[in-house]
Amino acid sequence: MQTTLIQLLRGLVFGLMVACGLALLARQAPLISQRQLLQAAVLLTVLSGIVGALFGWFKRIEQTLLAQWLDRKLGLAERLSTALEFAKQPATALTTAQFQDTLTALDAIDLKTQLPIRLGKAHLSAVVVASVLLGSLLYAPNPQFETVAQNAQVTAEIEDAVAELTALTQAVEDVPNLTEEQQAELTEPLQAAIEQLQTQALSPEQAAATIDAAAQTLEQAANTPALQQETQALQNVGAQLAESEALQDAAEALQAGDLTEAAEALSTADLNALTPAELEQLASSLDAAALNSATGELAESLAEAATAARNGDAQAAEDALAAAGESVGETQANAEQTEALAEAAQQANQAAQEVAQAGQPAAGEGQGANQGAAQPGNGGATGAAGQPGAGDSGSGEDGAGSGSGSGTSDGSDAAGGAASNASSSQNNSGSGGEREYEPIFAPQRIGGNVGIDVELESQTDGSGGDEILAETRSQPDSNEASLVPYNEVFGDYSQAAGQAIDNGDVPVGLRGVVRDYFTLLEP
Amino acid sequence: MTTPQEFRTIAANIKTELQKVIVGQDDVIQHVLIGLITGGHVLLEGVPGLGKTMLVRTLADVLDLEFSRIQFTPDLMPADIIGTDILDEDETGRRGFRFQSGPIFANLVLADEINRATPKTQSAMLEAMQEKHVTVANKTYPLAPPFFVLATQNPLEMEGTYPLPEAQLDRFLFKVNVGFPDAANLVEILNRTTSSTVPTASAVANANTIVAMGKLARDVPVASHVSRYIAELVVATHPELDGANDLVKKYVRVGASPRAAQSLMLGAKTTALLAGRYNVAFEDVQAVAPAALRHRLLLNFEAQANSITADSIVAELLRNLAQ
Repeated sequence: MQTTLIQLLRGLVFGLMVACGLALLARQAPLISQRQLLQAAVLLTVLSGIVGALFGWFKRIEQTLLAQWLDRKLGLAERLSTALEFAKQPATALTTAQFQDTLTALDAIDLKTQLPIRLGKAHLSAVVVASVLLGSLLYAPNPQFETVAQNAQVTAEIEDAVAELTALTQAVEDVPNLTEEQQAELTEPLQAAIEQLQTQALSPEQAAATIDAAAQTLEQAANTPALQQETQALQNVGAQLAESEALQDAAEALQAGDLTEAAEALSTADLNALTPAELEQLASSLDAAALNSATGELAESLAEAATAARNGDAQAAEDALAAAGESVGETQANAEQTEALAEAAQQANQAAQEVAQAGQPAAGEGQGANQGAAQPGNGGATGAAGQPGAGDSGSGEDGAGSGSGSGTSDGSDAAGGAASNASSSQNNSGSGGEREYEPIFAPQRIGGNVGIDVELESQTDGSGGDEILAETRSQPDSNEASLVPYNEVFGDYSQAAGQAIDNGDVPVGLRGVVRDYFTLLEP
Repeated sequence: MTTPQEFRTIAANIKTELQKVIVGQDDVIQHVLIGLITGGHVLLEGVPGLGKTMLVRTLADVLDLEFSRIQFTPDLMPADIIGTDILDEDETGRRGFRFQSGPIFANLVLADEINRATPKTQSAMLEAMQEKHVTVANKTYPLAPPFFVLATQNPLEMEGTYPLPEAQLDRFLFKVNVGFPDAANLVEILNRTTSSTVPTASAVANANTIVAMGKLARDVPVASHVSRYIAELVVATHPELDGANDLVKKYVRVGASPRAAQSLMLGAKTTALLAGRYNVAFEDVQAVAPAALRHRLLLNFEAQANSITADSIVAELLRNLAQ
């Protein structure tokens, strides 16, 4: 029993020391989380204790050695070992007497007092010291634990993103009216992104960039200005048709943007009961609508209907209106497809944003606040880049959001200076206070997740030279258009970014992102 | 056949009777008794007047053995010890040589001041001690068992003495140092020896008893690790062997012989029985080790110069030797 207990203590000490070693390793590199380390320490200690106890319990000491040890321990003067040795030999008077003498001596021994179970102070002290050491290693602040937690979060976010991209791929495949080539064109980047995320060890920034690239593809597919114009034109058509009583339902539906209802109303329009005057009025409305129609097919159908109505051929007019309804229906189908793609792109962007945020230094509940604190840099940087951001408040729940945007830039940028802040920022605006905010937010896209996508309108200077890109406000309700030529300011901003990198203001992990950003934006 | 219980009883009786006459000197009595039982000879070394001769005489009385005393002197001849053929005439007037046995033909022989005899005489004596028989004129005469020689020598007055050579010292089972009694014992000695009644010892054993006790002692079981301990102890006295103690290397010229191991074993066995045990313990070996080894370790000049004794070396070896 004594041996078992001692071996148990030794096992515990061994397990604790191994756990200490593990804890020391965990301080050198982000290998394991605090919870995992605690579990491993407990498991190691318990296991090694059990192994030690079992070893002590089943350890077979050679009988002769054990007898000799007992002789010494119990003061038997070699009686037991001699008896054991001579037990295998033929008995003589002396050996028999010796056996009896040994038994008598053993009977006289009180094992409880002679062989008490004693746990050496050294063993107990070793256990205590090792436990204290392990406890201090476990609970002393360890920055590696935060890194591990952050990595785990990134991994989880990447897994979520993979699942989301997979679902998006399926969603794209389910979009009606897409040809196989279109589907392949859209799903290929998604699948490539999934493969990259699954097979390569990507940094959060790289993963976010990968997802973002796929999202861009979807956005481009969803971004069909013609469809928007067509939809707008249909509203105008609706306004024109509203002048005619016979097509009132269709007109209201078109104006309300309900193209399905409008298509149905056009297809089922009954013109037979109209008087010639009403037909003439209808023809005028249809002519006007045809002029506002964005698609040739619809305009043609409406023009045919107008001609038929003017000629008093109600049936022909109805047929032409039915054809116009089909055109509207097709437009509706295209709109639905675009909407699905836009939604997919938005989800991909959301995933990219989550992955990017998972890679930020601050995680968990503090992320919002940290990002809010980091936003002034964002606003300022955005302004400095000549792109007045949306005052991204990141995903922080508190919406502490971005600063005033004047930041550390030269402040001469009107757009930057005017960068609005929808949230009530408590940050130091324009006072160079960015220095207080060590975490630097790396926008994955202009305006961040909650920002509004900005389309830069192209303008020409009329000289036939290079196209001048003009900055616009991120807030659509603002009428103050910024018209700073992009190619004139890019060099300054790129240089400022390079200086920031050289000065160490940008974290090492994000320097590549910043460089890539300006490389991609290079005019 | 003597049983262990009888052994202990007889031994206790012998001790009791000896202690009636001999005051103190328990260790000397113990070793002498061991030597007597095991059939080994004992060399007693001590200054004159310590009761060495008295001890042997008393022992003879107690054991009812035939006792003889030989006072060794430089002119003592071997024939004076072992005897010689003499011309004798029988009742019919016929003459012939007849062996006249010497004083060595006794059960208990006191060789007093053995170092005063010439080496030739010493050699004759020691040969008889070893062989337990004597040869005169090509005729061998056995010495009746038990044959026990107690030799004495005076460590002082070395002038005109012939120190026993190592080979002959080796024949002694033990060399026992007879120390000076302490004051209390000396008072007791005075009381016993200066009054009108001198204490006498009674015979409590005879030759057969002693022989039977010797046989019983030889049957005492010894565990192998104890035997190994004895062997290692003897090996440890050899400076030329690997792993020898620094003290041994420095001060011992010649280590103990295998006879030392035999002496240790026999002495330990008898000690165990005397202690009421039926097996040899390490403590039995340790108890007889100094007496068994001190005359078998040949120390060098450096040891003598540094007052290093064989006893101190043996004690050091016993301290360091693992059991």
